[in-house]
Amino acid sequence: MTMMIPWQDHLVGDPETGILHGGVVTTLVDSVCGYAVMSYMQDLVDIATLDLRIDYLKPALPQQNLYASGEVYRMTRNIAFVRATAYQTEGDPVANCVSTFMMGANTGVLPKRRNRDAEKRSAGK
Amino acid sequence: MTIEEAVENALSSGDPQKVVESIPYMNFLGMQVRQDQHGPICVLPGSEHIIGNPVLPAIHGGVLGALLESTAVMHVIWVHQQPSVPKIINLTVEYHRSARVVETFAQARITKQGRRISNVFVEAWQADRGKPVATAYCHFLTASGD
Repeated sequence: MTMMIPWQDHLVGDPETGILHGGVVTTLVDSVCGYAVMSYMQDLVDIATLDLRIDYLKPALPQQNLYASGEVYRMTRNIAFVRATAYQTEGDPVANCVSTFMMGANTGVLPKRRNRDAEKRSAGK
Repeated sequence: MTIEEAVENALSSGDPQKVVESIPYMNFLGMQVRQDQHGPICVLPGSEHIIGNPVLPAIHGGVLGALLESTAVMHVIWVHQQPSVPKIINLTVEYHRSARVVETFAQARITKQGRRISNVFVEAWQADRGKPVATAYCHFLTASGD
């Protein structure tokens, strides 16, 4: 999952340099993590961020689009574990992030339990 | 005006809002700053453009992160009384409950002040301070090692 936010005047944190506010990086990274979980789910359930840690590696340069890519590296029935990077040039990260999400946060509806026996049977066919 | 000049201005007049006014993104969020005996309190008004979950509805988690981070920056500036902006190294946000689209407050405290690094804890709450919607820990570089 990759998202992009174009550089805009009102997202600046330091008007002298035009560097984007750290909060913009946080918002983009939080979004990409959430969307990564949603795109990974087989049944659509409510999710909520439990925690999100960001390392700011360097400032986001002015006049350049900001990208963030996120992936779910482990999904259980209750929790999704996600990692993400924000960058302006691929391979040159601005920020690194790890986050965890709770599945079925507000409704208590959890993803369906996988029926492993049925999966094995159909795989054997 | 540079950000350092805005900070200097805010410190000399004792009005932290002057820092917010110089930062476009904080203005965009409509942030207001108050003070009590523990330092600055940042206030994020509830508005349409900060909604992350339109179904509930709830404030976007990233915007809450931005509030916590800005509050921490403001607190460090206020404690140090130096016309410089601390560099954020990292931020860990814990989300405790969904944030309704109403006024949200945040206040920080320094848990450890080292020679170069400040450890800061920030708390964001809505109607009830005893029930924070989110908290965060962050590290700032407040002086260069060289």
